[in-house]
Amino acid sequence: MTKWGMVIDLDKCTGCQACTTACAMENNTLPGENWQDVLFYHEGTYPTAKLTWLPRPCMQCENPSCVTVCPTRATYKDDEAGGIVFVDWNKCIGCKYCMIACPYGVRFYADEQPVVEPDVRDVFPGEGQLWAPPYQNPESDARRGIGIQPKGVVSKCTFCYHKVSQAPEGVADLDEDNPETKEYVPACVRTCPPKARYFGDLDNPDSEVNRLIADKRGVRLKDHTGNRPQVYYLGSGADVPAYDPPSDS
Amino acid sequence: MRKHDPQDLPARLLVDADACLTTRRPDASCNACAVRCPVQAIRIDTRVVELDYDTCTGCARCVAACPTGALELPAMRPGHGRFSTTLECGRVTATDRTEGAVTVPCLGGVSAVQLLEILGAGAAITLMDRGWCADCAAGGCPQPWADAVQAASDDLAQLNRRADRPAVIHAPLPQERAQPAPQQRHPRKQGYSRRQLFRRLTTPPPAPDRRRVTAAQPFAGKVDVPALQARRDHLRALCGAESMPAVLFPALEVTGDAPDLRLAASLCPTEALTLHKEPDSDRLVFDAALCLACGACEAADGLALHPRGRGTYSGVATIYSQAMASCPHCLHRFAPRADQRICDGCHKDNDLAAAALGLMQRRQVPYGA
Repeated sequence: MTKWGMVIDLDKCTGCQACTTACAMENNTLPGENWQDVLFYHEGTYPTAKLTWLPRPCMQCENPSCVTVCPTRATYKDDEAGGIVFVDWNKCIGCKYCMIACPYGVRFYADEQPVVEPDVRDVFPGEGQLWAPPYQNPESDARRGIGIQPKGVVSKCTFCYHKVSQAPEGVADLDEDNPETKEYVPACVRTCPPKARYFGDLDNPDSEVNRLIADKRGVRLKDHTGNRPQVYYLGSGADVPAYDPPSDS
Repeated sequence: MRKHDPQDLPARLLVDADACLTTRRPDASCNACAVRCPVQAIRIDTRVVELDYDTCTGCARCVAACPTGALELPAMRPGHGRFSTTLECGRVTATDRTEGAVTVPCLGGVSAVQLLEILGAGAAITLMDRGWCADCAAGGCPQPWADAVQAASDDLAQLNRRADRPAVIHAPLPQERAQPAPQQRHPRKQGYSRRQLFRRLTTPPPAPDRRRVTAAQPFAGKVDVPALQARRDHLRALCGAESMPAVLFPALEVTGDAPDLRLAASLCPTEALTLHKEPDSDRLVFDAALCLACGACEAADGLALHPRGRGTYSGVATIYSQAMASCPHCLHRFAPRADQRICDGCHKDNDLAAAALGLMQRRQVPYGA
């Protein structure tokens, strides 16, 4: 069975946020609802602070803590669909338990307070939808949390299931440079300018993602929580190095 | 003295939709007027108060029963004498009437607020019980004034002016000397031409959409409370001082350590409980004089409503204040715990980034935003 996984090479990632933008355009997410985000992190203090960054999609855990806590079973892990964790918007009651439980902070609830002014929900008011922008991705499936959510539910990354699910059966890798598969690649992977992201089948021993994880010692974040993410990170991470004051001598 | 015309009264019963709990706050499920009406002229249906003017006898008991003062009958504004006011039933004939008495359609239609208004103007009140109320044709009830008189007497007792309470004099008159009770007007028979009849049969009347929310009639807005505002003003006049004993009004106490301020403020049907947002704090502000004592706010944890307050009432008071801060990362307002600089969400993000960095570089990275 297919088990979709993502590999992010931190040595290549430049923190350009192209993935964040592509995700927002693909999935029509509200400002602040960054299913895919790049976290910027400062280490040390001025003047010797160092800036690093970490791209963060949903980890699509093998043992997701969000699924365990959901009181209505609205969020579920679909092993038939490549092991992606979905939110069923018809069942979600917006209690936000999953947001607390998720160790990675990748679940989102549109707050009443808009993140940016003016509130786009007022600019493009929707019927039955949180908002209705002039262009919407025609793909939508409320039972898998694809499209624009109704009011009062939690939303999350779907690994672009509406694209990934179209891929031919048994394909090992979805590579944006391969003309056969490029249409099925998740938006963040397809757009990544330095090609820091790879997407493929973790259950297929011949896949590129498995080779990268093995060769480059791929790691999963917060493995001690037992969530076992399907997103692996490679490399030691690029950074803006700390200022090194010249010696007086 | 204005001539009391029973035919004229019912048509002038007005509902102020801004002050009606049923219209503005269906969650409060108020039906005080419908319960009190002796002839069932008021029907309450989800958000609509329907007045049947043909059944209404204009007794105005609903006006006295309404907790917010949403109903009004202009004829029920009794004037008052300079030093004393005698209230007479509208059925008493001119010959039997007490000298200088004020006539009202029904003694049960005088509300406690109106009694306080007359008392506040410095006049003593006497109600004449003519003994026919129990079997009045316009809806019998042994002592229709009892609730209002009791409420006004209680307020006076709290102000140590027990002697001024309204007096009820039992001076029965035989029923035969009374004017006929105001009768229910029956709907006029309506005839249809054949064409009209067929049109009526073929096109069913459109059912009104009762749950529609319009800008003028939002589903959950705050309700005006003219009756409670008037009560506060009259009590202040009676008291003669700006500060009144708080025992006249309900009191709200914060018992928990962190009540949900926004929830509590939105549960209150009136403006009694409001949330004031200031740059560095959220304040829960309570005006006891506007409180209906409905207890809706208690659904938010950590609030306890007491029917009577203690100490003195001196207007609007802040009952809870919560320090708020703006997260330097995401600019969201949040309630910080001790020594918390960034919000919980940003803390989680930072924590994840620090953990990732440490993991990738195979070393311990200290957490620090």
